Amino acid sequence: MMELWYSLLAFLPFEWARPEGMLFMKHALLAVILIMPVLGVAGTAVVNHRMAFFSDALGHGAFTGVAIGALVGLAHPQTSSLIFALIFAMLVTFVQHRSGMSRDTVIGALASFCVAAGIFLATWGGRSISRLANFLVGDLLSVAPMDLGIALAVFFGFFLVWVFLYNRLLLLGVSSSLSISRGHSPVWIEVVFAGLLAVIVTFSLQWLGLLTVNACLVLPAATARFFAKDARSHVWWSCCLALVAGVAGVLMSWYAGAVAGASIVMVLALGFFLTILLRRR
Amino acid sequence: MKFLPTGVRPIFHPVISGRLVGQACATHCCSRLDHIGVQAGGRDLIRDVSLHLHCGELIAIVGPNGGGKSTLLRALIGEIPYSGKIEFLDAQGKVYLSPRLGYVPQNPRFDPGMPVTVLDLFAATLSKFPVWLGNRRPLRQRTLEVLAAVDADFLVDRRVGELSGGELQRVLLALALEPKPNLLLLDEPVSGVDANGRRLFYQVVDRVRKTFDLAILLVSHDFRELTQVADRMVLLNGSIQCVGKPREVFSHERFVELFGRDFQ
Repeated sequence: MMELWYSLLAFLPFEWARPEGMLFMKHALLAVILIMPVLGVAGTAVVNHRMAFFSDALGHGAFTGVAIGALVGLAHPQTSSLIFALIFAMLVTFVQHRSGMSRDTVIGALASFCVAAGIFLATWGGRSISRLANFLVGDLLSVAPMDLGIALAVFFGFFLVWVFLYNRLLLLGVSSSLSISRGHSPVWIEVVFAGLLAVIVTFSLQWLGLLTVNACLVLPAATARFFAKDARSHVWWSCCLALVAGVAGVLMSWYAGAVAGASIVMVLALGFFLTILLRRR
Repeated sequence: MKFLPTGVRPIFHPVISGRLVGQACATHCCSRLDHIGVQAGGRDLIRDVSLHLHCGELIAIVGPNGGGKSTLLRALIGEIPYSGKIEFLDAQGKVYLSPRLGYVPQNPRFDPGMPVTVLDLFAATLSKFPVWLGNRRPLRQRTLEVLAAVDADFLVDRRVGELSGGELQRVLLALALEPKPNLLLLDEPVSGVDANGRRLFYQVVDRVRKTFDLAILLVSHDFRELTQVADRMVLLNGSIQCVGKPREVFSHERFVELFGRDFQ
């Protein structure tokens, strides 16, 4: 499977694409091709439901999990970060529905607790926090073929859930009362969507970085709004923009010698601001 | 027009506005609210609300802000828990288990920049096929037909965030009518809509009531327009204060206490 990918890339006129060596770059490229469309598509609902703050805070929940994973010596802190991101997502959704408080307030309270707990645990006993730096900025050049297998599963799993969830999410985005009158349960729709976001954010975190992953979720969908004429074209525009920016960002990081996650976000942000400047009013 | 099979005796056939209502309702005939109460924070929001709604009848719920009008509708759609009983009876007096409710919410607050068209909204509601994989042609035709019933078929490709208040409410009314509900609930559907938009909306509601022969529960503050369309009016302020024809309610002492004599 990977051999096929390597031989396909060999047709490209780049020095890193030659058959011999530079596997990390080829893996990084495949990684963004799998994960960026997922983030782009999920981002449309994040933007429509005004959940950018929530998806940003999800990373904070995952950070606590990473710190705990490192503390107890887990080989893959991703497992504990996923569990914590899921707990965070469920807590925010349920606390918001139970307390009737605004989502912003609940997220603000829980996210700051999670970050504080993460830093406290990571530095417990006088240890240095620098070993968690990878999670802050991401490391797309250390993707292993095994990770790509999981990325493929996340890719298909996401789109499977998305097929069943999308229409309900769209109706809920217009009015929760309308959604209830159609026999839907807004709480459960939000719980499933929040869980789905927790999975994709946590998974992307190791590659794109805690500080930049949310931009990969929000910027493609926000830019796509300027081009989209309806819900379908919004999803497809966002998917394509995320994919193009992902590939362009990885190439940029290679030639600039910079971190890939930040390079992708630079491309996305540039596209967003250019679109605002150039679009016809 | 469908009539009841021979030998079936309808249980509710009240004469409303000179029309014999109920003759056409072979399936659904009556919604019965039996001592409905809603509590929140140890306080009664509404208590002891009992009402019968017959098909073809439009009942307007009026009352002061905080009087429990929207609470009653939210209880009916199952958004908030309530005490008491809500029953939907067919023409033979049998209780329905799952009646269809159409609901038009009050000023839905969504992101106006959302790239969602009227057709997307219908496609998401009427079909399980995900909207992002494409709107199918038959669905567009069906949407156009339903929108035409409320004079809104020209809005099919417009974004919902670009619609005026009156246009949006007509679209939501069309959405509530598909599939045909047994009971239509309208929660202050035209609050904040200009006079022309309100007049058009009530004309459409009146036509819908006559065309589809369904029961309509309408919460509103537009007393003057209600006199044109409402068969009965209920003054709700925590509990039912009075019920009757609009003119009767307007001259009732409880109504006069709350809103004055301007509407008599």
